[in-house]
Amino acid sequence: MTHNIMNIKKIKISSVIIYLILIAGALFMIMPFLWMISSSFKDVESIFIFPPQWIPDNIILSNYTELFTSSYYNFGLYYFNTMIVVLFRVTGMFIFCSMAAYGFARLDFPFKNLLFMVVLATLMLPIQVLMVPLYFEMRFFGWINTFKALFIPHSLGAFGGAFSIFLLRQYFMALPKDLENAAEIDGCSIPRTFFSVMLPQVRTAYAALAIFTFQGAWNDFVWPLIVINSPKKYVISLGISLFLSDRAALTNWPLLMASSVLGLIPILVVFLFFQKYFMQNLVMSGLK
Amino acid sequence: MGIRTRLIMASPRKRTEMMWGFIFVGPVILGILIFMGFPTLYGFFISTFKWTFIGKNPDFIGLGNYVRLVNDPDFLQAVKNTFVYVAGILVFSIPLSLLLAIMFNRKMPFGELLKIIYYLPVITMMVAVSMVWRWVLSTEYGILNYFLGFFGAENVPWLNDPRWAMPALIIMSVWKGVGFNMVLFIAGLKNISSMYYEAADIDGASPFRQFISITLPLLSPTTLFIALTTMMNSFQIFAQAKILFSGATEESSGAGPDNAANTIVLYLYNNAFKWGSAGYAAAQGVFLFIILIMITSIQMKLQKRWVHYDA
Repeated sequence: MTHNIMNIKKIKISSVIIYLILIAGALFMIMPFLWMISSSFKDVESIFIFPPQWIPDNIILSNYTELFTSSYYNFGLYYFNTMIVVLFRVTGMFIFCSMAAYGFARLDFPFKNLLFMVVLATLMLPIQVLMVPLYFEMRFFGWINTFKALFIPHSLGAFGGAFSIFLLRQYFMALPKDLENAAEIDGCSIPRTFFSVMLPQVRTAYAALAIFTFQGAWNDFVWPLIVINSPKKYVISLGISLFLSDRAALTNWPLLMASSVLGLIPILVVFLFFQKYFMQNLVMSGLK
Repeated sequence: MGIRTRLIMASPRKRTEMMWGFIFVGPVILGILIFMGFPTLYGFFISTFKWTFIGKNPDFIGLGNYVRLVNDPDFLQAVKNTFVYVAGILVFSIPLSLLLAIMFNRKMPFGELLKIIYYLPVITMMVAVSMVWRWVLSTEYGILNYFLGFFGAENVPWLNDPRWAMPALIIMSVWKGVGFNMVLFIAGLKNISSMYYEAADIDGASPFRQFISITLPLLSPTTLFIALTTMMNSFQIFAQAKILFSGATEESSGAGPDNAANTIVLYLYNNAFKWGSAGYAAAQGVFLFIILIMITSIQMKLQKRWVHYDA
């Protein structure tokens, strides 16, 4: 009996210690975000007050208004551009990647496995490796400084779009074959079966993938950096990196932090509402 | 059986299915050939030329760009930095995320909320958080030095001293990525049947012993997957270095003090888009491509050998 009680006590103490460690770690993880938000409401003088003020005496909003109204930055436009890219990428992915996923999962045609291997192989090939040839190709297409360059390749399964195909294929493969058989008996053609019978079955996968695609498109930096150089077509990540070309602005920390807040807010909001989908995607990608 | 014979022999119904199969996967296959297949070959092609962005006639120089690569101290340093960075991430991020996963692998109040906080950096924009870390790592006013000061440490010149450039990059990247691997490890731990631990308890094995003899071997598929994806991603490091170190010195290349934060992709990018040597940059792309192919083939080999799949 005493032995048991001692054991429980021992477990309790170690659990409490672990819990405290995890909380301390979580504070470290969230600190940069709090520091960013706090700094973004300060003026240029109070940012250098030492020791740092977590809640500034003098809370100002002018850093945010400047980002939207100054002649040099136009975050309203960057937001708009980013939303367009996100919208087109998600739509394109829904159309083309789900078609391909269905084809690979449920239809039989020659070279299917070989073609699927090709699709999977693209996941090993990042844009970073192909920067130079891709730039020349985009220039040849006349796609430099166009939104086309920012969503067509992804919609067609390139640049990591293959991941969506892979994930959707898993979902389609898990559906019972009876569904298609019933549709065929009712005289449904293959495209009709796909659109009216099979697609509605994978709605949850779509929610997860839409969020995943949103995240990728919103955070994208390397690809826009290569194909976009006109500020009129800037997406939000390029807008933030604009500070790098201006040494004076680089020390205007409150303004910089406000721009980072603008870059992070939408994705954080989406994440907090749909966080189970984020982790679900990740776990499925890793362990299948 | 060739495609033609298969087509002829197939029933009309089968033939319709084949046709729709090709129509369904066609756009994606075309997209992949245009945007990934062709550029891969084209990259090899460009890498054999002295090719600039403005010059009209590129000169064929065969392996000239590759000879230049192995003799270019800046490139060799970028390679060395990248390997140091990858090693740093492997050594710190993976054990840390496994430790976190093990600590999270129990019931606790607000456990989900805590997990979300650790995962938060993963979903955020690299450019934005790198800007934030510029400020966090600032020598005199940065919050990190402020906290280290509580422990009696002197101000560390994270972004201005060649010795501290890589540690700064690694700290930031571990912060950014640890939640990702942690969630994968948590899923891996959940897949291990509690049967093993119950049996070990009956045999009187200590928690440490159980970790070594049960958890680690049964977790090896997850660990392998995490280690290799982490490696693949880390070799491509670019945005962090560019944002953290651009503008810190007169040269806005993002390579950091004395090129201490120069990485393969950063050097590639600067060669191509800053200094206009497209051919030379393409050769660096091929070099990175070979590294990534090697990691992939190691993955395929190892998967067959030391991984236990019987969890």
